[in-house]
Amino acid sequence: MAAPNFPQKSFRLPPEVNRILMVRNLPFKVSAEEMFELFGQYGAIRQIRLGDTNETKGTAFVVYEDIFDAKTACERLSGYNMMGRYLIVLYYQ
Amino acid sequence: PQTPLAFMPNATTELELRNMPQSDAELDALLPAEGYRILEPPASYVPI
Repeated sequence: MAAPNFPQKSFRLPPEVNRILMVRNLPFKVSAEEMFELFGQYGAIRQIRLGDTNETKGTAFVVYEDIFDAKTACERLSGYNMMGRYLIVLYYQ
Repeated sequence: PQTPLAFMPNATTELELRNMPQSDAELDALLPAEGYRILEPPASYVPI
């Protein structure tokens, strides 16, 4: 029988969901405008760190202000085709 | 009748804890600094 759902203020988020997204497979020449435009449409961005050395090129950390924005962004943008490359978006642990 | 819930009206919920604003120092502690540069938001960026 269905568990009685107590009046919860908000549903519980899975533990791995957090506000910091690690993005991989980014085009190397992506600009700040493109990053803020693409990720900014899902919520206010706290900070973006873009890799600029040989090992870290193509990866970035995008930090959102709100955890739900980060969750939506992660769901919508993973697999997004940016300049011919499919983005990999993961929660940063 | 249902058992009364131990309801703490103004307790900070676990969600609020996870959504606390983070200072720059906390972010620096979390994120790798070397090999990454912090992007400045362009003038056209308007946080929604």
